[in-house]
Amino acid sequence: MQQRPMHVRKKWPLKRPLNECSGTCYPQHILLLLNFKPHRKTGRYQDEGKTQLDMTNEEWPLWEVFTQKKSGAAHEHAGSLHAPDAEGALQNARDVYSRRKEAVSIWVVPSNQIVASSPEDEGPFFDPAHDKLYRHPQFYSVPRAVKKRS
Amino acid sequence: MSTTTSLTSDIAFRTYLLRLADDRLILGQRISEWCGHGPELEEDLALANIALDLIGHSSALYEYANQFDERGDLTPDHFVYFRDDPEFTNLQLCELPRGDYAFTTARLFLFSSFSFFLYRNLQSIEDEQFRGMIQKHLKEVKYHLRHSRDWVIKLGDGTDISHQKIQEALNELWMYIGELFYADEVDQLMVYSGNGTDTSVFHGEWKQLVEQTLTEATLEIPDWDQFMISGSRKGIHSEHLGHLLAQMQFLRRSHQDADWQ
Repeated sequence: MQQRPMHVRKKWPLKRPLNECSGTCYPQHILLLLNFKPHRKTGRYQDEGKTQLDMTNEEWPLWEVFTQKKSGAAHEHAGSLHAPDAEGALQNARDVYSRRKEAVSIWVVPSNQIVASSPEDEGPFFDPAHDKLYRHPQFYSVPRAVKKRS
Repeated sequence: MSTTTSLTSDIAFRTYLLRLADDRLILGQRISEWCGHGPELEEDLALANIALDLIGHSSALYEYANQFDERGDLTPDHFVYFRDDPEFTNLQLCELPRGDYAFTTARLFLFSSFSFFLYRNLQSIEDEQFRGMIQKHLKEVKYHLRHSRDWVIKLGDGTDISHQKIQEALNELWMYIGELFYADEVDQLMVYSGNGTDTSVFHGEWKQLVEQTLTEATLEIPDWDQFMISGSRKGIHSEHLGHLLAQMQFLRRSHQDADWQ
């Protein structure tokens, strides 16, 4: 996936000739926006012969959305969506995940910036905790003196 | 609809509310045409959302307009479905066909930027219910402005094709923006009674916002002094409104007794 570094906040889309696009390249989405006539049979979007680009594989970058239900609460993962840039992702998140008052604050994070554990990590990462119940506070009985005070 | 001689404050209020409502209804109906046809799933949702907001605003305004009507038993349905085009007082800007995405974006930007300043200046009007409505709707108008302004910049400062499309859209729309600042005796009476605002007060600010946005989008600003269309506040419309109304009204008209419940 060809993407610009996330710390460079550049106005999307980048200005460059359309025929230089390859891989995931923003300007093609603009084409999608402007020539939105799907093909009669395939239902795919066509460029009406203006360029030779096949735009059917092109998608906006994916963003993960986190919403906060009320002030002070943790931001929780709500889902994901496609958007051309950070501002677009925020606006789309507002429309997709908060139109029924689900949130007071939204975070959006580029999905490819998330580092996740893999299924193979399950053993070494999580299994050792199985037989260590004493790591839960409930494992211990509370002394009577402490109970009384509370 | 109203003449200078017989213009009472009730008629002025009703006319004023209907103008606001008609603008929002017709633009909302136009934008709703994108539903299911949006360029991207997310943008489809955003446009449907904005259309719903606008229609919601109009519905509240129609309901209130009824209180200033002689009959006093008119529902929003009456205003929406049972009036013909000369009775609609929406701006021609709102009734133009949806065009491509660039056209829709440019129009929404021009309309919601005006709407933003108008609503902001209506914040301190006398009438409590009208004021409450305006304050509630302003929040949504701000979002429409933010969304459309963002897209004007993205398209303008985008590829050669997107730049060209949005420039063409603006050039085409330009002659319809003169009407935004149309004012007649209805507006004067509303200003006089403390329930309206003099739009010329924020003309400079609005112009500045538009110019600044277009400059940021690397777009050329069309000629402010060019020919401007007028007449829609008096019920003079383009051919497009009739077609829009036919589509919007026929079902309701052919089932007059139908009930939403």
